[in-house]
Amino acid sequence: MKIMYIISKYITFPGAFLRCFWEQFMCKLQKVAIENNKCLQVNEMCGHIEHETIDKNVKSFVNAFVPGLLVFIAGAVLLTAPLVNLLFIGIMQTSLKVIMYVMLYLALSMMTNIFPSTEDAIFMWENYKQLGKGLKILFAPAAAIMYVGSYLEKYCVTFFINAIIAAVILIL
Amino acid sequence: MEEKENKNTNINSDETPENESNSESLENTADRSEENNESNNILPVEDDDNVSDDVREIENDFHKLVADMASKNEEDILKSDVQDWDGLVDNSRQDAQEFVLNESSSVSDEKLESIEIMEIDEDDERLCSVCHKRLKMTADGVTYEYCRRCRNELLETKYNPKSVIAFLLSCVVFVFAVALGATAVLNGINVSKAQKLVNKSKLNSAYNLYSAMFSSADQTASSYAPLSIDTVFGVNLGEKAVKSYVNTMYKLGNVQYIGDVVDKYFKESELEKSSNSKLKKYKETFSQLRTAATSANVIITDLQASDEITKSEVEKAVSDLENLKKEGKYNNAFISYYQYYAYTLLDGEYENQLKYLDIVKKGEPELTVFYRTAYANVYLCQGEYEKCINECDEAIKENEEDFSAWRIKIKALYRQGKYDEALDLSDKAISIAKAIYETSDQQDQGTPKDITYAYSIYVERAILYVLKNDMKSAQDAIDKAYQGQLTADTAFVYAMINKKNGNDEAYDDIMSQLKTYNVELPEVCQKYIDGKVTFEDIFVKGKVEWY
Repeated sequence: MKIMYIISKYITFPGAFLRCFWEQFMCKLQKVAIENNKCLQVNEMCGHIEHETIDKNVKSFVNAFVPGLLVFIAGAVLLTAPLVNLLFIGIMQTSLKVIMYVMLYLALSMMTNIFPSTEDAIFMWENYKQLGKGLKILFAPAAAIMYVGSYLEKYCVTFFINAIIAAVILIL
Repeated sequence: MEEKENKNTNINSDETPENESNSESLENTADRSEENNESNNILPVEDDDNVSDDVREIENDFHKLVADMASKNEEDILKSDVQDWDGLVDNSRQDAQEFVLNESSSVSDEKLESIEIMEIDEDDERLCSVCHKRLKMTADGVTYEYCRRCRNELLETKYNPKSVIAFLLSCVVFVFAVALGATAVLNGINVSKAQKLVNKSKLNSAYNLYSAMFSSADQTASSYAPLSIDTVFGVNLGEKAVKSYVNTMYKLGNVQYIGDVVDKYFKESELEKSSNSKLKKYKETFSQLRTAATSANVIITDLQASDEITKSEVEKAVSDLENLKKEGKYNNAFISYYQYYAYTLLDGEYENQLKYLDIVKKGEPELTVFYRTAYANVYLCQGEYEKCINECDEAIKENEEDFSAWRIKIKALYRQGKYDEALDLSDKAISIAKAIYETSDQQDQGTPKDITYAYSIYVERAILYVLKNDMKSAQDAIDKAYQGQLTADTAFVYAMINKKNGNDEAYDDIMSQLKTYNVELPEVCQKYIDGKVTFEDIFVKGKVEWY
């Protein structure tokens, strides 16, 4: 599964690099030390950067959530044009068709890289558990999505889901 | 001081009376030792001359060993892929203990007994995972994974260049995607709106919307054309929109434009695909109609040129059209439509009209616009109002905005004496006309949509109001019809109502306009003005040749 995970990260490298950028950006913003900024590496940290453990609740949450959110927004915007054009309107110009295919790949590569690493997700989850009741309820959906999503990504489920979405769009 | 140093080097000696005498200064020295550690000095600084020579010797050896081991370990670590830092630290600690025990064998037992390896609290024993130096708690009580120096360096870690490139490219793609996405969404909304209008049988509205979209797309494409990027940045209305547009035109009978649109968006080879079979058929129909119209129009124009059309002239024209059919290069259904039309130029030829309409219906059943209201009109003239209303209902079902069908149905109702029902129907027709989607270029500036599209309904309303003796409402209705479009029947009803209401100026104005077109007011209208007949005689009981 680790090999599959690494392959999926290499296949979706534009999204992986973008996620690494935002992760590093958030680390710098929050003054979190980065030990290894290499993005594509042959281990379970592929597609993520190695940084020091974050003990503070908010920092941990922000560091796990915001990079994924930014990549998701970029992916969603990129997905709009191909989704509408390929699925609904239909494209008659070949050059535009090619552009839409490229945009579809980029969008789905981003969608495959929206969740934090399992390590970050676990720390975030531990920190989340220490929150007050009100904050717990407020952050519950995001925390749960990130926690579950990190495992889905680890076991390439997100990759296969996105591959199926791409196939459906292209077939229809 | 010995205590202090031993603490720093993790070696402790048993307390001696000498040590006890110095116990007071131990706390102070311990504090100083903390300061030393804060500056990440793992090895103590010797500053006490009272330390015994043997202990000092052992300590020196130990320091040397630790330094050697540190460098050795570092080399080993660098060579190996081992990532278990904690394990390495534990191993180093054991090595150090063994070394001290071995080395101390040369020392007298007494002194050896005075030396022990200190059990270290795990929390205090965390090492920097980069330089392996011991970590200290910061002033705010946080212990990091790295020593201050290493952490500062790590905080300065530069961005991965590949990530930065990915980010910059994503920014460019993002802007591009926003533009394309917004265009796609807007087009999608318009196409969806137009298709909904088609599904609701509001074909005129759908056609107007499609026309506006395609016109806008053409303008955008032409503005990009000099840059040769029109296919990328041009508005993509898509295959579905083109097909739906062509289908709408076909249903509306605007077949004259179908060929142009199909040729513009589809290559001949693409039309051979089974998914484009309908388009191919539409295009062929358009071609056949054009060919038929070109030849048939010559015959019909000759017929209409006659001052008074006789039956023999009509029959000759019909015969000529029949000969065209025999040539085999025309669509018989379209030629038959012209034969039907030739018979409409004569009064009472309803059976012949129906005969040719049947051929049209059989030949082109999908082109309902060619025969549906034509049948209704024939049935109206024959006095078969139920059949007429059925045909009108079918036509309205196919295109809710077919106002000729609404008009024939209203006529059928008031000819049966159902004035109120007819008036209600006209209200409904007008409300539909008000809701028609209209583009700015099609808009007749200042004229409301109901008047533009449903002026003929206002003529019927005017007649209905006269039948109900409401001359004021009749005047309002005919004024609106006049504002919409001036046709012969509008002009005749307008003249009659205005004269009856004493609006001589308006009457004179319309008469002068009719004179301009070389059209005379029909005799029956003059009779109404003279008070010899009523509206009921003309429009309910009678058959008016111009109506």
